[in-house]
Amino acid sequence: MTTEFDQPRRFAGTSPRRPAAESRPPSLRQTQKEATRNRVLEAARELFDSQGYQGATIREIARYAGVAVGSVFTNFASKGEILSQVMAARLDGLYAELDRVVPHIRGTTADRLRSIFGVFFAFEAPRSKLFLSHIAAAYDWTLPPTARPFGTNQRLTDLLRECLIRGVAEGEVDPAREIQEIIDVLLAAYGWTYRLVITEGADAKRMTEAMDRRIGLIVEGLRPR
Amino acid sequence: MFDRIGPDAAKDSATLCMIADISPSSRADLPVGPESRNRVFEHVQQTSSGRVDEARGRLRPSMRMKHISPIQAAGETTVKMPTRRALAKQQTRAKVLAAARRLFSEHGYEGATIRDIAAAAGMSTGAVFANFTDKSDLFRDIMAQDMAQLAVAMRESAARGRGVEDALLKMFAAGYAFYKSQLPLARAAFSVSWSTQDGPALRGAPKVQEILELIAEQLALAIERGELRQEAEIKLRTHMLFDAYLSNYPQAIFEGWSLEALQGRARDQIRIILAGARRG
Repeated sequence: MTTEFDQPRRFAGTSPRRPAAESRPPSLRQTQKEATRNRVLEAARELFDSQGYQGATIREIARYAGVAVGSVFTNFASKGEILSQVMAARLDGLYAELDRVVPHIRGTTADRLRSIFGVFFAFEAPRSKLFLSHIAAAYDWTLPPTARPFGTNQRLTDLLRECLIRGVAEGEVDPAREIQEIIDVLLAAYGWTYRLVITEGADAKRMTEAMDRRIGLIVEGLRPR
Repeated sequence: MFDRIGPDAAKDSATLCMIADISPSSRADLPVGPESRNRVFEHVQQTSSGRVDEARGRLRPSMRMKHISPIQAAGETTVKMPTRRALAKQQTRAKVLAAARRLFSEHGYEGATIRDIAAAAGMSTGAVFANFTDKSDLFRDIMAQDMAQLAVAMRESAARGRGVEDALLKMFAAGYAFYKSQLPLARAAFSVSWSTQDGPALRGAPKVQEILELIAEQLALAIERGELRQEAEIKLRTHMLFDAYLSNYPQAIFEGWSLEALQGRARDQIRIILAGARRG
């Protein structure tokens, strides 16, 4: 117990600086607030990745970040909100990777779909428990109604649509098929491939293999008759 | 010894129904003295709530017979009636399960604590722990009850299907109809199933395996009938169908989709997943 209260006290030690901050209130306060936020987000990312969503508590996140539990709550409404911000912060890295890879994607429709999902698995798998937390959080009661975490990555949906439209143009995909339906099936297969992490501790390679087979099977059924 | 009846009782309330539903004639068959017999019966009537009587009143005569039979069977063999203590223990379990079911539905898996569940059941946390090792054990028990019912409903629905697509769709529709009335509990179940700690046990549950086998069975039958090609990759397709089935729950949970909408989407998914295996 004592160690838990030690941390906030140490952090409270920074408060004497506050009067000085009043001369130029917004910037320093802002910076401090920003720093606290970042520390919380970093600590949370590590804890969600090691403990999972249920295992990581706000109290522990605060302790790990070296801030008071109260100051976590002044920045975030709930554990679910912290996680969704952790995930949002990671998206920049993912999008940069997609920007780099996507222009070079070649091959059949199935090949191209495999490459797209491959980027996602390669990006998320090293922190697979973090991603599992992300999925589990979708079912959390405390989540704000606006948060729809899992399976709603617009960028992924757009990439898949582009890929399938091209497949239609190239005669590989039956134009009579509803593109959105195909995307739904692909996303279901993608999301639930993470189940392999839970059941067999799968890594990126194993998940990519499993997804590749699923893509093959789906695309096989899309051929024009 | 009460385990004899356990598997037949899909729900705790059903168990109580069976106990409370002993007709005078069947009681006469039981190998216990009249006094202890009455004590047992009184005990049940005292502790079982109005819920049981209500359920009992609704039962058709044929169903009553069905409920009596395990006890009658027990009466005809040398097996004794459960002791008063065993009966009390069974009731405690049933009470805890009912309270837990309600709290998990209201507060989610994480939000419901053993302490709250004990309080809602009107007993000490010690009494809860005497019956269940921990919260996840309690939750698994509830899920096992539901999934046993679900597996039966799915099997019946699949049998009514015409062709593989229809059979699978009817199966899935039975699942959606079952959980539509208890989405909060389904939500808690999804939350648990994605946790690395408790997820594996829930996913590996025998009843989940039974549902997977049921899907595989439909595919095998379709191959036999010549609807699907011989090399239809049953195992992979089974998993993909199950995943697609599950993937629609978030729509129902978060977007409030109707049963019709869920079924419509499931139909499209089944079609796409089976398309590559169709003959011709």
